[in-house]
Amino acid sequence: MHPGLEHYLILSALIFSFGVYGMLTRRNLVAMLLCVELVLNAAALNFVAFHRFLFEGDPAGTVFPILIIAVAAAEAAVALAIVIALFRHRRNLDVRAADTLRG
Amino acid sequence: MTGSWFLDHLWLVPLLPFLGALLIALVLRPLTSPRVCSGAAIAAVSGSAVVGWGAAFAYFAHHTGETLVPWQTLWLAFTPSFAGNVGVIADDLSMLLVMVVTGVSLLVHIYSTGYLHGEGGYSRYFASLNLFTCSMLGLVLSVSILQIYVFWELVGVSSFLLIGYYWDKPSAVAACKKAFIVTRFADLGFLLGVLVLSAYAGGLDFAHLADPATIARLEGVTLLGTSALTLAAVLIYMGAAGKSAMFPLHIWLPDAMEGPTPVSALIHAATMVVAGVYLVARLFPIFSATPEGMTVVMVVGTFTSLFAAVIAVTQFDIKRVLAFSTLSQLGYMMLALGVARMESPLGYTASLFHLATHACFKALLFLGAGSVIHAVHTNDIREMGGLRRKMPITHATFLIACLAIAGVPGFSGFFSKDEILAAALHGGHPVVFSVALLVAGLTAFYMFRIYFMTFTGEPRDHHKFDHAHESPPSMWVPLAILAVPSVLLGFVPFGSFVYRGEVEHAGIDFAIAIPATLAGLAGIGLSALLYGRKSGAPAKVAASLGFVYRAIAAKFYFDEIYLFVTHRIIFRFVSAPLAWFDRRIVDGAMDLSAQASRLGGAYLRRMASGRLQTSLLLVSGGAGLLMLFLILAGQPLFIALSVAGYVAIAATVGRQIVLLLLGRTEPLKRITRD
Amino acid sequence: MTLETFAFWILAAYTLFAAYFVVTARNLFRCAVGLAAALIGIAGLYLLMEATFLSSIQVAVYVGGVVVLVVFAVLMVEDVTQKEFLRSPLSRCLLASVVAELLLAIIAGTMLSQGFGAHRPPHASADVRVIGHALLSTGPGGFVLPFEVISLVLVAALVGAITVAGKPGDDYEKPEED
Repeated sequence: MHPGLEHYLILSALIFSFGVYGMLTRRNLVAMLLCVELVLNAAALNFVAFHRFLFEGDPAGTVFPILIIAVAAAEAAVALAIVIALFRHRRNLDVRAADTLRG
Repeated sequence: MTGSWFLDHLWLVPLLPFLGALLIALVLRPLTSPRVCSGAAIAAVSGSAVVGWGAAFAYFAHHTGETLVPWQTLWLAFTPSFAGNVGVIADDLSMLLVMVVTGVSLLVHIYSTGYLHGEGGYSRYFASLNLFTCSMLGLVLSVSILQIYVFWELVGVSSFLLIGYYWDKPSAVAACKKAFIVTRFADLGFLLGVLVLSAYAGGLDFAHLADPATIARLEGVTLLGTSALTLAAVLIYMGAAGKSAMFPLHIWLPDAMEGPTPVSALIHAATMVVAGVYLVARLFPIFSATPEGMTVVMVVGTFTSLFAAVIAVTQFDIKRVLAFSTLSQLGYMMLALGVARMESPLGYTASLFHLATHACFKALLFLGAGSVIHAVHTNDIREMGGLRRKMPITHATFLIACLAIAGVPGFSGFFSKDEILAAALHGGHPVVFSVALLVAGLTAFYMFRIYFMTFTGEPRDHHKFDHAHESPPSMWVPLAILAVPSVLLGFVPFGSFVYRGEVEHAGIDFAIAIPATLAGLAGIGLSALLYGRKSGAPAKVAASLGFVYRAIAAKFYFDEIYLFVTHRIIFRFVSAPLAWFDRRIVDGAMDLSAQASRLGGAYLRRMASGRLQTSLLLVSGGAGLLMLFLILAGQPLFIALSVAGYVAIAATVGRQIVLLLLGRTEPLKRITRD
Repeated sequence: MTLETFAFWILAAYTLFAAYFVVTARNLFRCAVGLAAALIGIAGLYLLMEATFLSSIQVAVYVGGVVVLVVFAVLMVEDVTQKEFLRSPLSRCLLASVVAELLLAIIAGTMLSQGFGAHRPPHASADVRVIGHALLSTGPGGFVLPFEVISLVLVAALVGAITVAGKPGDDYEKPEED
């Protein structure tokens, strides 16, 4: 069967839900970060798919993935800086141990 | 404004004792000695008395007949047209009461320094006394009926404090509660009356209420099948009857004698109990416009005066005799008001005249009785006797007061009683007149009964007699001072100072004065016959009367009737179910909501665990559920989910209610963080 | 079955497997490698959709930059080769899967109910020139503002990262004091 728009969309939804599941279950901060990257990529994949199959002439579908990549880079930089600071402070990256915000 | 410093600063009169009470209670009592406290209290009341008397003299010298308002300010503006002011009023009525209250209060303050010397709670007593003086002065100077109501309740509270002065004595505690509850119950009527009156009259100020135009407008209004004016008057009279201890709300006054004797003199003779008379007099134009209301006032007053006089004859506690005598005399004042109308206002003047003279001689009697009690340490006149030799000053002043209250010509009581009798007869109420005449005789009889038993004859209890001594100057000086107006006040041309409508001064009408005097002298003579020398005659008379005597001595069993009604009927069939309802349903609902919040909070608290992933889970799950609802809105699944949610809530609440009704809910605890 | 179809299914299976690996691997380093694999798979899908420029950026910046950054960080903070990190409790895993499946169901259901299937234009995606014009164009449909904003964000992120990670502050606990 020839791959259409829906195939890509379902695939991206699957990757997205994998990412969500990972964010909710991984207990290591860096691993959570990696799952966030998955979610971002699922979104980018959607953009490209829509661009390819529905809005051929509009460059927005390709510009947004570029912006997403840039944001992901910024996010990775900051998150990793935080991870390093946290690690220095606690010697541990378990997200369950970091609950200073507890109400 | 008014040309007199005292009148312009009339607001100082209630303010000074208030400041005194504050100062004593908050500063002086913890920090200084009792003597300083009493000094401060006397200073405050003296200041108040100076301003008050100065204002009164200025008023009666230059402004008689006018109504001045030296100071007032808007207090409660419900609507622009329906507003209550607070301020001080200066007219004949308020000035008279200011003179009486500040004068008697000052003397009682001085007297108390001797009477309560060395007792515990001395400073507290003076703070309460100052507070009482403040509230009473605020009451008589009120410019609006709402202000009067506020001070009315303050008077009740401070009276409660003073009656309960001996708070370690159960009977005193019971008495102060009784006084408070009975008067408070009566005030319910007062409040309703205030509401009815102000609602229909469209204002709260006396200036507005007493306006003939307002009354004329009110006369046509009907409410609940009767005239609104009558309804308001009767309801307000209920409050007045509570404070003035009119039958059947009289039961608290005899018990209130548990308080210190100076308190009885101040509150239960001269000031608070006349608040009811004052209130009716203040609203005289309104009462006057409703003959039915005035009839109630008259009938209740007449009956109370007779009823109390009969009981007074049988009592042996000197203070209780005086208490019943007070009831009787208050009934006198009320009946005088009840026979008065705007067209024939003699009774109005007579009532207030009697109020003033009664304040003097009854305060004198109480203070004299206090002096005796102070000397012999008992209230029972059967244990007294022959004290004339030991306490000459007390004896002389007490005798003067007895002569005054008995209405012997030349003494103040003669003039005021005469005027009341004249008002009753001229008002066309011969029955009232004859009852009043009978009461005059009875009054003379029972007053001289206690006089003879206390001061003359042989001492009955030698131990107590030997210990007796004349009281210190701080006590007998007020007695001597009060004795002066008790004699002379009658010669004041009262009717040209305090009146409503046309000045109509009757002078002495011999057709009335002679029978009145004869009644008084007959009472004195009978009393002298029975009690003047030692004899078994009183006991024989009592025995021959049998059941009637016992019933009278038991005050017609009114206390028992009240107890039966309250305990057996009201408590059991009204209060108990209400208490159950309150505890289980009202409190229960509060508990339920508190428990629900607490449980809900405990559940919700887990969400704020501070953990990243929990928050993330909740956010993504919530977002998912929201989207689901948006997609499914209106579809059966959505409705089913909603119903399930409601059922869950209802089930939780129901479980709590069941636990509540079984009394199994846990008491609320402080939520502790784990 | 054309080559394109075949490539799609292969790439889809590969990407999904890599994503699954990212989510489940017990070792941080393997996770990072799995992410790199998944990103490469997505780059392949871009290629399949004729978005060549995006595909190359995906490989160069994402895989070559971001993932390598992550790997560096991983190597800095933990002895990754030996340490396996903790797993969430089963209840949490079940709850998470319910949430994830709920989201999946909603997204997939929405997508499938839109009727996209019938439409399929032939070919030709935006080339680099078009993208470059779009990114720097100030006219309608231009993206110069987001472009400049994102560059600012990047600068801020870098400065922030250096601040946070650079010097230990007062709250630094020296290991020997532990």
